Amino acid sequence: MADLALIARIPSVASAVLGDLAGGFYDAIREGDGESVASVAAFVSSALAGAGEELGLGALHRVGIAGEKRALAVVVLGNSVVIARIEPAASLAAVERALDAAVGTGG
Amino acid sequence: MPNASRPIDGKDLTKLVGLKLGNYRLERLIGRGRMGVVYLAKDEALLRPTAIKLLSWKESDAQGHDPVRWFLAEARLVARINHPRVVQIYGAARQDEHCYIAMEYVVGRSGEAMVSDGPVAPEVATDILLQAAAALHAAHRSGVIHRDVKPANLLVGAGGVTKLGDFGMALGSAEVSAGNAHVRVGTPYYTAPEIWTGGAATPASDVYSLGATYFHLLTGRPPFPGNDVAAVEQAHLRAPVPDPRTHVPTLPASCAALVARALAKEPQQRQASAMVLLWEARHVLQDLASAAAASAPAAPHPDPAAAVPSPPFAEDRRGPAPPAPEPLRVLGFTRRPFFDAAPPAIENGWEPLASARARILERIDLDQVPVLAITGGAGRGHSALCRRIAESIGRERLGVTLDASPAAGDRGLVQLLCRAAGAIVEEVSDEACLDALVERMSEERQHRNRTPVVMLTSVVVPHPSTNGLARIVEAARASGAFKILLTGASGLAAALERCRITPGDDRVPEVSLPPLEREDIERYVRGWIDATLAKGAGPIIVSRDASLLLTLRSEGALDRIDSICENMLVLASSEQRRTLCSWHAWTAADSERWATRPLDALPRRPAGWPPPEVADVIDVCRRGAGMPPWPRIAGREE
Repeated sequence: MADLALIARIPSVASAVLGDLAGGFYDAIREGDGESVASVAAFVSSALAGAGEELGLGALHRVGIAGEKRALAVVVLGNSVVIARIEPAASLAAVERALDAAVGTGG
Repeated sequence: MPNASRPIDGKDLTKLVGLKLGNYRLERLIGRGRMGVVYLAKDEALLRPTAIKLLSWKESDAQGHDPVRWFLAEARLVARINHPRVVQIYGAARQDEHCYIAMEYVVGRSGEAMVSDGPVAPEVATDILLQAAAALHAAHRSGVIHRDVKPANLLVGAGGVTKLGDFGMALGSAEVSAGNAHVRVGTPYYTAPEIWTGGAATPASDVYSLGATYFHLLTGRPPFPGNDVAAVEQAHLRAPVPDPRTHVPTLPASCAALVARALAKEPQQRQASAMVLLWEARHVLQDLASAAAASAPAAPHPDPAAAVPSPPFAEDRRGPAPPAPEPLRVLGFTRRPFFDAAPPAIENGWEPLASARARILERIDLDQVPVLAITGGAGRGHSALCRRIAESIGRERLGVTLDASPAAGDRGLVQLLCRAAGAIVEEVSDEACLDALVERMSEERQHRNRTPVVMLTSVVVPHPSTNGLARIVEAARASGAFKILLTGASGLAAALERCRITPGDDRVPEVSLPPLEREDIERYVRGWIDATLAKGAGPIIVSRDASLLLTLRSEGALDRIDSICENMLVLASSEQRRTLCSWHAWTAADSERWATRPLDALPRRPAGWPPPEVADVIDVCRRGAGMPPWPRIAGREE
């Protein structure tokens, strides 16, 4: 399981949530509604996992969603899902690299 | 229009109290009709109240008719109809200057008086329609067109018995039909389009008028209201038929379909006869009874309603769910989800309680099982299961569902069932109702070669109508004309035996319904949401903890699931969110619906959700699902 405290310390990570692919909510740092975040991330992961399979990407590894001001990085680790809220959105790529390093999924 | 109180020979017809006409002593003026005034009189020979209608027209008013002949023709016309739902004529005579008809006095209220208090309850309005259609059919079979069907001419007496009266405008369809100029008759709000354009009155125009009357009773307003006759005329001729569900959203689709057909502009597009209208009214009545049974409250008896998913909307003969209320439209729902515990399309044809349904259907087919009990805890879905069974068997045999809970109404169980089955009776006694019920069921059995099934839901024993229940069971056993499904709490069969409703040597077999498991509930909720959310609308996400709490709070009872889920959606809508989470599942009411509540009356999410006591409950749920406890460190700063 990912070390959420470690992830939350990555620069530009505003909050972090740990959940699972079924929408279960396990932990949160600086996030007031981790339950909803975990549910939505699980929904997105499930939807995109199917799309990834269709597109020949293989098993889903990571999803990045960027808005105007904030971004979200969803990392799938087996059955677990780590969600990092990123501010500003421009930091998404850097945070994704740091996330890969933190959870050991870089490649 | 003539003044009904104008004297026929200079005397005021409204001041004849005390006058004796034949055996009848006039006691009180009770009405003024198009052709006369009506008194309540006492038949001094038979000692019964009688309505006396006195002619008031002069020859000059009669447009070429002999007014006395016209008046007496009405009596002859109505007398030959001879139907229990048509006001009975006792006699007609002329005495001195007074020409009068003595007829049955119906103690009660007219449909007009009832609707002056506002819309009439749908089941009552449909019951009235059903009885009026029976009367109208009898009139048509006698060659009589009523021509003035309207709420004022429907007299609703004791026990809801409805009678069609005032055939005063029926002339022209029989004795005095020849050689007279066309006169448009009827009351504008209820007059068929072909009459407005100068066409002849037909049974179809009476069907139209009865349809318009039904609409008025249901909604509290005529289908085409207005003060200007010309505008009303144009609306009858050209305006689209209004949907009564616009005013009463809870009406079943079959009700709206009945109204739409009855008010079709083209006579040939209406119900082919008043009898067809009656059959459709029976269908509506059964749907209403089913819906009432499905929405019966859980308390105090452990046996309300719930649901069984089923065929897609397109195949659901009850038609689609009604439009979504405003808060749910905001979320993108086009139809109302969790509406009546009769869920829609479920993926892969999955249906909760499917195995129970299969077992019940199997046992219904066994000749040696005239009575079967379906039992389980509160809200296990008995009523909706019965409805699904009714739908399953509906193509091959009659199924009648009735809420038999003590709260269902103040009429006796036998009479309620009689009405729900569409059996017409003159008397309101249980004996007469049972006879009519058995006769109707026997006809159905003979017609379809399959035994009809009566489904009494939410049965509690002892029942306020224990005798009625016993007699229904006895009628089913003795006649073999129908079978009975009783739904209630566990141990119902033994309770029936204790109360001597069923003989001790022949205990009623029971089929027990299990509560829904969490996985079933999740599929059920997803099925409803997917079926009623507009295509292209954003997803509605249900959190894991919300599902767990929903399972806990509903106890697997579909009626509570329905209430909680709809209220969760309303709460989410008020927050402009599309994720249903534990706060929604914890807060949403499980017995009342919030869809019509003002937003500011809804609960607000507190800061720091969940409080410790709720987190403890969530933990219990999580433990059962193999999940770790709720993270108490949520929101922590590190």
